[in-house]
Amino acid sequence: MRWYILRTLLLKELLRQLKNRGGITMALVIVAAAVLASVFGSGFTVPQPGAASMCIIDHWRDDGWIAHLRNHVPRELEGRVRFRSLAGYKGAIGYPPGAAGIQLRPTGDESLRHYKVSVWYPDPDGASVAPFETWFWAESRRYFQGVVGLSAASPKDDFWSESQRDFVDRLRADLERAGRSEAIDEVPDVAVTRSRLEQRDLDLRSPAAMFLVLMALCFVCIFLMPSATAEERERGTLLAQALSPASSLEILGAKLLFYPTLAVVLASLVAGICQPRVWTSPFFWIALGVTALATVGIGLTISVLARTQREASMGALSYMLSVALILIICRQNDLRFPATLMIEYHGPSMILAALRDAVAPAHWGELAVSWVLAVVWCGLATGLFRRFGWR
Amino acid sequence: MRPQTTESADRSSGAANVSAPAVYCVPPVSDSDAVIRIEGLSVHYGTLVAVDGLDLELRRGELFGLIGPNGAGKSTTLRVLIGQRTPSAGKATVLGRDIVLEWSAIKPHFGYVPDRDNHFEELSGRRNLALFAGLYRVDMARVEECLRLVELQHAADVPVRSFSLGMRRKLLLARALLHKPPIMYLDEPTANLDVRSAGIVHDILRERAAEGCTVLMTTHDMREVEEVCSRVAILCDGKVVATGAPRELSREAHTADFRDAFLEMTGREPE
Repeated sequence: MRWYILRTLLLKELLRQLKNRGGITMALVIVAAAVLASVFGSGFTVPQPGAASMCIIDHWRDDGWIAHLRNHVPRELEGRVRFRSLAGYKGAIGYPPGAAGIQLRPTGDESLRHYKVSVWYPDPDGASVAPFETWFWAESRRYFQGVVGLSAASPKDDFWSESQRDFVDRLRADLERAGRSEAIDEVPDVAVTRSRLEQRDLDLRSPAAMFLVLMALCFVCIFLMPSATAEERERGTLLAQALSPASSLEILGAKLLFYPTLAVVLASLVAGICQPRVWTSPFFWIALGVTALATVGIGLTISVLARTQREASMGALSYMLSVALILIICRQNDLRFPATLMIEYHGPSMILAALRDAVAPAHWGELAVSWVLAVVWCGLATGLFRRFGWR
Repeated sequence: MRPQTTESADRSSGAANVSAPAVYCVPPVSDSDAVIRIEGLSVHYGTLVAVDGLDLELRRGELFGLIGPNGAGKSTTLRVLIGQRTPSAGKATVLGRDIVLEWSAIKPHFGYVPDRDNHFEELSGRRNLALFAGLYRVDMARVEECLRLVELQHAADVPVRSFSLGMRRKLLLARALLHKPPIMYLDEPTANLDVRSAGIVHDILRERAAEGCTVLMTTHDMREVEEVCSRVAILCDGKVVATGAPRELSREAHTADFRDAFLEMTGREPE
């Protein structure tokens, strides 16, 4: 590699891209999207004093209990209580920032009287969910009093002093006092857990940043680079360079230096706008560099196989659609191995982990696999380019 | 069919025939002078034989014209010489080096003007030349000199996409001249040029040849061949049907000018 040739070829790529209005516009759009996501997207939520903004009642069975609760939302909580059916849903459950959640999950196959109630609160001590819990437990007690045939207590009872743990015990005590011990079996078993919501799970900024980072990488390495290289071949400028003292390896080297660098600059800018602290994460930079290198290897392979700019664009689009399709099929059918052969599987996972500051040993494993994929793609692209690239 | 060699051409001298391409005498070239040597070169595009057993030798300082009707194999021969196309058979050496095996060593020594322009359209003419000057390690003074040679100084800062066809071709010539190569390949260098510009190109080529540069050009302009080329090879259907100085070939064919000689030798109208 001769530096004066490499420098000239890098300058050529830079000048061409500076004159490429379409490329500049796309890059600006990605940056603008990052700015918008950071300004209007939800970030890390700050624990809020006072009440939670809303409470979502998640239920898996739309039974009488839920119907009673739905029909007895007090006026002061109207609009702040939302009922959400999760019947059949198996994915992760998320809540908007500042919202609390009460999950009402029946346990046991047939019995209607076994429930697990999980209370999720956004603040450190759970005080924010108190108004919603007060209503929830008071109305629940009223409902089950009705079920076992006791006269309903007023919802204005001093419930909170009882605490929800007394809910079942008090109901049973009420039945014994009323001389109806035989009905005690009808009192439901309710297991209650209370937990603080992990704030990171509420953050939408990291996935948005991850998406924009990947978009920046794909745009530069899989779309822009093959398009520019195929254009050079179509116009004959690649031939002109190849006939100069520049070797195929130097022409390729300039591309392998310029485009991943451009991709990393754009992607890190986007990531930094959304999540500035990610710039201090060494894992982020390594993962970004390796992903960019693998992506440019893919782009270069497309550009070698495409004879015209149109073929390159269509090839890039076909590649991205195919990969998306394969990843969806793999996910739906729980086929992990084919997915692990794609950088598009590891890249998002690594970058999201870096953005969330939640890098686990598994992510370092993914980094190692990504490195192997980058070497394979770049090796394939180099071999093809040296054989067919400029001809 | 075997390619026309010097000896076989000598034997069949004067056997001109309008319907079948004739073979005319080929002046011998001494080995010591040969800069480009092509032996039994064949190029196939699938079943199509573009070049069929071509033999040629070009001397130092020679302004050689490769002419023939469309599809005769001129551009294909040039593509082989610049390394863009691998021969199907035969071999070619440039400066004593095999063009397939030692292409990297050969390519800094030639300048090439392709048949269609291949500039970076979005960049200016000066910037285009400066980029290639960077690759050839040539200073900016030479860039300015080349722009002046082809009379493009006034438009040097305009993006090439605004250039006329003639200006683009002149810029190609300027690029090929940048590193003062000892060999130049030109594929129709004066296509789309006005009379004055064509004259400038001819002067440049004569000057370069006088300095010892071997120039191999293709053209369809028979007057240009007569004016500029010291020797020509006429190709027809991938084979050499005649080589020699244009005037000698006219004399051999008993025609008034080279255009008529060309017609007789190829048996068809020149393009």
